[in-house]
Amino acid sequence: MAKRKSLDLIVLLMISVFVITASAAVYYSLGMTSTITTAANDVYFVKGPDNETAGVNIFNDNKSATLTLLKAYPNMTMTYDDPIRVRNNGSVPHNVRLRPVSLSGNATYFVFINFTLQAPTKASLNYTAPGGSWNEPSTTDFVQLAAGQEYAIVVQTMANATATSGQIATIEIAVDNEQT
Amino acid sequence: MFKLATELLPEFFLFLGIDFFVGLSLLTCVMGHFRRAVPYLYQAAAVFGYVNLWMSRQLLSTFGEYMRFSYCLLYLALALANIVGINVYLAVVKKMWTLGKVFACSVTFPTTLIFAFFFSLYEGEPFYVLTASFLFGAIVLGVGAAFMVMARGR
Repeated sequence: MAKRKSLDLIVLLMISVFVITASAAVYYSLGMTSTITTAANDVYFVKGPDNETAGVNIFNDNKSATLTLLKAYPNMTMTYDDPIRVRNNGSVPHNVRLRPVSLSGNATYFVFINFTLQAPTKASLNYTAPGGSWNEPSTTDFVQLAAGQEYAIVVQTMANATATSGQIATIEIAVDNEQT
Repeated sequence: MFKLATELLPEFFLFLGIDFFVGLSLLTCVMGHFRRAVPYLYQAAAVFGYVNLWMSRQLLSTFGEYMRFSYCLLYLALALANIVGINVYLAVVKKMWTLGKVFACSVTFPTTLIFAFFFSLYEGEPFYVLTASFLFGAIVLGVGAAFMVMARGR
């Protein structure tokens, strides 16, 4: 009788270990499961009033833009007040930040090139070129875009006093979006 | 809004229920006051819970969170009901009062508290009322068991 009970206990223990281990594994994999659905983007670029001066071209369903006519003059700050805007077309606030992606061009001809998102809390990427080499900024903090609002990205440039005409700097930045 | 990775899934209640059934199966086997088939029945209930968990994972996108929560909670409630049932069976049907009290203090009360604790972690305002009632039930059970043990000791 005691032997049968021991045998039962061993069998039950083995089944128990199997069931609990398998359940834990399934629960763990369940925690790793996520369903992702594609959706239209709420945050995108729109042209500002100064878009023609700055040569703004928006494409890829308003998710990419180029500004090809920006000028930097020697010893003079050139400000483009409202060439392009970031719009939050959704019904909830979104957080965005500016992130530097790539930079090329001879730094000796430039003093600075700044991009500032004019949200209630400003986010700026300031590229400076002291001593002939670029000082690349770090990614900004997230700032909030209210629902249904759009904010300008102000661009400021200045070339070195000795800069010759026709020198080019190419900067790529990204606007990262985080839903609140 | 970003959510914590430690947030409980509804299936956690299923997992907890499986553990309760497994524990019950081993306890009923060790105690020896039950028919031989009883521990195996509880083991079968645990396996059923595992199948349920697996189905839940496979049909995650089909079932809504409310439905998942409902059947997981139902399963856990069944496990708890069985624990209480065993307790009552020992104390009332078998008239083993001491064993019933020990079972209440060492199994029924802790499992109810564990259930109430994890239930309270699950988000949502309507659950606060239920959690409060479960906690209240667990405390009454614990205090009652303590008084019974004390009275017996005098």
